[in-house]
Amino acid sequence: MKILIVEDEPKTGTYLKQGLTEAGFITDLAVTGTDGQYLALTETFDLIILDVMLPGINGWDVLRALRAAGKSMPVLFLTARDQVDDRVKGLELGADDYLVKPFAFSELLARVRTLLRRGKVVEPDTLTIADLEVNFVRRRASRSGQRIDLTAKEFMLLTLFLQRQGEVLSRTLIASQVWDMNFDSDTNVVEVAIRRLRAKIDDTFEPKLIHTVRGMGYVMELRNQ
Amino acid sequence: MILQRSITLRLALLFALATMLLLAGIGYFLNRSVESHLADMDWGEIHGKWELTQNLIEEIHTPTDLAAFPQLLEGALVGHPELFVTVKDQTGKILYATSGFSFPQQFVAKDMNAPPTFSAMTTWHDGEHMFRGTVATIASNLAGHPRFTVEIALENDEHQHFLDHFHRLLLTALLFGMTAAGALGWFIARRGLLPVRDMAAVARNISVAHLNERLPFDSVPMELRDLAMAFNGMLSRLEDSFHRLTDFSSDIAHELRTPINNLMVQSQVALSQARNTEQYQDVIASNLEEFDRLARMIADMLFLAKADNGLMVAGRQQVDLETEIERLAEFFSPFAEDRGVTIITTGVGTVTGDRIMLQRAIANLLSNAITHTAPGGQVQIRLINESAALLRVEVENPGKAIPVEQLGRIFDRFYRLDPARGAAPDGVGLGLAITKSIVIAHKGYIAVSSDYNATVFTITLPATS
Repeated sequence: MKILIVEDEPKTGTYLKQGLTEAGFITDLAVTGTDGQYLALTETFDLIILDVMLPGINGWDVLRALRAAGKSMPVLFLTARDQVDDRVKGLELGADDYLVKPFAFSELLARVRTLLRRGKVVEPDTLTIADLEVNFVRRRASRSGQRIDLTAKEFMLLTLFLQRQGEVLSRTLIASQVWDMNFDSDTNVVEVAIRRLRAKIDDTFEPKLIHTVRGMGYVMELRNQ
Repeated sequence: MILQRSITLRLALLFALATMLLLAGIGYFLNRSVESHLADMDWGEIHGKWELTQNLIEEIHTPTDLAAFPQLLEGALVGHPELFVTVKDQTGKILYATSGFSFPQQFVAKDMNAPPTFSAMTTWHDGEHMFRGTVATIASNLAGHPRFTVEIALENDEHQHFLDHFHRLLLTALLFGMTAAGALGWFIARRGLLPVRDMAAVARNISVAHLNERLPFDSVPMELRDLAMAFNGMLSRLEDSFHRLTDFSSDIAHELRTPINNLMVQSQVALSQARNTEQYQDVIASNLEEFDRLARMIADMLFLAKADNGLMVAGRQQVDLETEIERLAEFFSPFAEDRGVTIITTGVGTVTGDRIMLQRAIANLLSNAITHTAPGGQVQIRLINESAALLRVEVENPGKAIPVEQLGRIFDRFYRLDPARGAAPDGVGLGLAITKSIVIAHKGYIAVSSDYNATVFTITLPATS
């Protein structure tokens, strides 16, 4: 999967490139709108991460040029300005998603994966990790063959973790996906919910599946130790 | 117009006008009485001469007397060049006439025997001269001459000169009085407006640094008290807003300083010597937490700034608050249960607005309520249909009463009930301010009440029927 990053702020550009490369993507970085547009038009990318305020040509014009040239790869806009007008303008021009700075890298990664996955993946009936098995049709979870009773929200939380295995999920993302709470929660509500889920699926089993990533959120993955 | 702009000038002119009217009135009466006094004097003179003439006529008994009469009259009139007398007999024959003088034609005596009265005195002009005079018949003792007609006139140029002079004097007094009154009026108005100037001087000295200055109320004249009061009121409101703003700025600085200090010190200590991976990871993770806090604070402040500038427009969706509140209760219930707190929701209601904003507003209240409830307590969220047009959302939690003086500031930015800033475990003290601005964006209002057993936050919103 090849991603083009167009970002004029050197630190941001470098860290985005490093982060995405380490997440397994092939990345190119352009530091002006002109370079970005040239690269996007001449090479093939699966996704473009585009800053709005750019020297040369701004992000909107780059996007306009791309769509005019018939390039239909997903485009994720980055901006420091959180104005509804900006958002609407971006989306009207054919941007696929929109992130306001500052954002969590895990959030960016999650959005990138979602955009790349869009329309390609058929969700299977069952997902597993280690000896944890979840059947979405029967809404049933078990570990080592042992049936685990979960509340509706706990089941949704577990589903989210399973579908996003290996991705760090921020508290905000979890609150939004599981409870439809679309604000930054001050309280450690999500922490409590995660602790309860862990008590059911991790506490009495080995290996542990849900891990806390300090300062970022939680991830479900199989770690060998 | 300059008249409309200057009170002093207007008052000065009014003073002058009033003085002129007053002096003109007084002048008119003075003139009238002087004139009538002069007429009285003239009459006295004429009457005296008439009596003299009458006496002389009554002395005529014989034709010899008659022949001597002109001589006698002439002698009586010596030294009175301003007096003119004509005496005629009943046939119109002139017995005596002062030389060089002729009476007007219409000066005809009526046939009467009574002495003339003041009202019989006539005034006429001849060229530049003015005359007063009278005419009467006098019965005679001479046979064949039953009566004589006597005409007496007085030239009163001297009185006329006096009157002319008097008029000039009056006019001068009038003009001088007017000018003096105008000047005095100007001076008085300026003095009278001195308190206004004083007020202006105080107002001029009021700056950001001296917002606590007030107009001295006691020294202000009664008429200006209203103005002074309104002005002081405005200053108080400004001072209050300004203090809030200053507090807000210094709060921002304070709130930013803590996480930035943490970041700096932690990073400096970490870099001061070589450490193992785990330690570095720990530092970076700790930094992340601070960054997260900063980012959240900035997002909240931007939200409030937008609300302040009226840029936050509530959407126009139908929001079923019952569903939203149940969803919130479900979200918060693990957290509440952990603290031994139960959440109870009641009521139904729908409003028009922005679902996500309303969710956030109520979540802030609910989160606070749970945090401030002792284990075993019960947080209640009630939806009450106040009327067809008003919906009330009440969030109640048991707990200690919030002091009244703190209740007033509870919706202020960064205001925390606990004066030891930074004691709040998480959050930056903007939650209630955000809730309030969301409610206002929805054209509603928020209130709080607190007594010894419960604190209740009440949001009132326009309901959708």
